[in-house]
Amino acid sequence: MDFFKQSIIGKITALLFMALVLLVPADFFALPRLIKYAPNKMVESLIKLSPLFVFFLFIILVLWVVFHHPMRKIFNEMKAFIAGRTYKKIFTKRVDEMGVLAHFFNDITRSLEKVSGTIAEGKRMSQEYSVGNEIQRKILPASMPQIAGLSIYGNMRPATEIGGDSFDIIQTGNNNLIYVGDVTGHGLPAALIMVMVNTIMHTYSEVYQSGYDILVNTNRILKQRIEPRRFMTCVLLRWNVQEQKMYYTGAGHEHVLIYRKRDGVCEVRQTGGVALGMVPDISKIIKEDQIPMEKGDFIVLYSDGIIEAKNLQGEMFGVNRLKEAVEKYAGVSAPDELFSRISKDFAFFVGEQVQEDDITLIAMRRE
Amino acid sequence: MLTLKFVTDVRDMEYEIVKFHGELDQSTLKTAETQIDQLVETTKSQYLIFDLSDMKFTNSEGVGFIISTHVKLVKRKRQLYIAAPKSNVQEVFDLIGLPKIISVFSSINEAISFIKKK
Repeated sequence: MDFFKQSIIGKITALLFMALVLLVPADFFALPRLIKYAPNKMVESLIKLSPLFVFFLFIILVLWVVFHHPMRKIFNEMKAFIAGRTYKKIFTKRVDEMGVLAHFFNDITRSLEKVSGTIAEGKRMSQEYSVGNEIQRKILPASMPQIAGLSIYGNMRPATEIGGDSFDIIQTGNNNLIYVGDVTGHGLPAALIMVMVNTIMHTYSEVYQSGYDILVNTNRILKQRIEPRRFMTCVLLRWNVQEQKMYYTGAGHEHVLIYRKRDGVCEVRQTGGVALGMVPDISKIIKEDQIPMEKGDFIVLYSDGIIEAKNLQGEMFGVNRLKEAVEKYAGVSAPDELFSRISKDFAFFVGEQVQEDDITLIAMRRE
Repeated sequence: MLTLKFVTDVRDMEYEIVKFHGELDQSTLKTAETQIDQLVETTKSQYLIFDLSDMKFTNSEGVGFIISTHVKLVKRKRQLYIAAPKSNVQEVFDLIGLPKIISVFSSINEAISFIKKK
């Protein structure tokens, strides 16, 4: 019974057999009576051949119903698919060869739809990465500026997907503002928030003299424009050339490393505050403090991409390793050399592990 | 991986506890968002407590999600508290400044006692 259900040949055979079963008795009884009334030999021959004609017609009908009609439906959808036109899924309850072909067509087109969706998504992400990368790059300082009393070197290495790190050096009047920031999330939305903050800070640096005022007002504007789950951690240093003093204002960012040349010890200082964009008013939460610096002292700023980077054994680089590297090299290095040496230690530690987040490191020395 | 367990204060309906098991980061954010957003829409309780005693890890994305839940609840005149974060999670909170915005309690009992005193 399965053969007849699941196979076209089976169905055709069954139908033809039924036809024969019906036709033979009909011929046996009807034909002799019809031949009696035949007016001539030609008509008599035609009557004798009529069962064959009927049988052939029946075969054509069976082939059309069982084979041609469903095949045409499948071919039409295949042609539409190949030509890039709209096509439809083929709904069928058949389990014979036609049913198999129809289900195969549905499966193939479903898989191809998934793949082309993935390819389109990949293209979109690649374009998004290019634009986001361009935005991120444009925020970074083109070159390290000359600052009276301070030498500085910094760089940022982006991850394979835009990770949210940014840093900039803004020189305005007596103030040299150095900030490093990290936006939550990845991709183009993070890049847009970066550029928003950078623009607002550049604007307010021309209005306000303290890091506190700049960040309070930057936060107020930013909070109005970003969704609740987004924020940017930040630490803003202010080197006043006239006073030759360093100040810092923390907004929920990583610790600041302060190396004292006198005793060769690196302090890990929490910057405090709260990240930008979390609440509308941070005026009672953040504050600006001074970092006393003597000649040869270093300040190192970094993003969490460095300390959270893991090696192949799953071990994190961590703030202690960074602190130890600063203590090891800061006494005998200029900022660019310190940067280079820490980078080598870091690269040695992580080995072949894929970089998952942006990495930012800025070193500055009191001259 | 992240799973969430929901516990309601059946006596007074004052609070609901959401216990986090696992990690809250970019890969599990969707799971948390779907379930917590639904709870925020439907809860009749005044307070929501995130029990983080079994949450192994979070990062700035997880903190962002906690902040956005806090904002949604505040708009509905409700409040979010956090209880019993592990030390590594507490470190992330302290760094970003989250305790300055949302109250963090060292245990779930402390959070419940605080609510009952209100």
